[in-house]
Amino acid sequence: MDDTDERLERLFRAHADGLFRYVAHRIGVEEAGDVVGDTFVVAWRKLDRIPSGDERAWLYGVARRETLSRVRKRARGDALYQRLLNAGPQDGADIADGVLARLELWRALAELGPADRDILLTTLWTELTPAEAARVLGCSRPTYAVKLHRARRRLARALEERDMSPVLESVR
Amino acid sequence: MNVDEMVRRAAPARVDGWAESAQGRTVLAGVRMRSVPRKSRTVRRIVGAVAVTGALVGASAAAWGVFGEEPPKGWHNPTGGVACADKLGQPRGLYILQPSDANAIDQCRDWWRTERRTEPPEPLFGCVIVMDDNDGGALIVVPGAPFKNAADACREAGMYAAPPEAIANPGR
Repeated sequence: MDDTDERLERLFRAHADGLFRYVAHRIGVEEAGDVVGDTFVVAWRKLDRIPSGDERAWLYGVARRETLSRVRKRARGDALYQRLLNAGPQDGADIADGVLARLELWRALAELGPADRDILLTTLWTELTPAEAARVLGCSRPTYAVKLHRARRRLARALEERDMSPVLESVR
Repeated sequence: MNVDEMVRRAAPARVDGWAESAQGRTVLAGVRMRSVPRKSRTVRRIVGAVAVTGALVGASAAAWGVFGEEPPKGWHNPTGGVACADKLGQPRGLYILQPSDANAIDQCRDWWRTERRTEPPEPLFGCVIVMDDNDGGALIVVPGAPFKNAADACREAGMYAAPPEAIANPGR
């Protein structure tokens, strides 16, 4: 195994699980493996251009673009969020685990605009740092912070309408 | 519970071990079969570098010519809020204040004193970022040193200079 092979293997072992999870949330587990594969095909072709130390943000950025591209091509739109909208308690979670509250939250997320959902889930359903999330989303740190703040406010309003009142703290 | 905690708690379960699973190993094998890492050719790299440099110089010149001036007509600050940046450029922290009609720079001076417990790093200047997705713009107060005026400081930060009326009454 030469150096490029080893680097690809290391990147795959380090990031494939997180990427699979990130993608599966958004496009469904059925296609998640394909998107992770496409992401690593791009990585393999451009291995010498992936900045050392910034691999995670680079890979998530590619995976996000691949996912959005597939979502756009779907005639039925964003299937995952349709599924979230229609989700019921039979989806496998335990009632005692607050499943109804979770479903309400998913539905509130599903009703947000795609840009709000994108920034919230990229921030809160991954372990990316704010700087990495800004790079993944292709915006500056100030723009990222403002967009995230507004998305939080809109989600908080949507939850209040469902009688779920989150605390909206002053945001960093 | 705040919005972030609610969204994090609603995240689907972690996926661990996918990279090492049969599906993960098949995906990685497929990546290796579908492509080989592109070996850089000196000529291609030089031509590419010249083209990219030219494009970046052109784009930077265009951006440099725009940033620092007042934002495009029709920009608006939909929330009426003000954000205080902890430094010029790519701030580590951007603190978004509750909407208020008070002068934006005075709001951030108060924030430095009450929240950061230090005198504000004068001069402070008001800058504007304009979102690319019809989400309006945002007013951001930045520490301006070493620059002497808002135009230069905001240009350095990749933002527009805030119009005086927006600074005087951001909530309008």
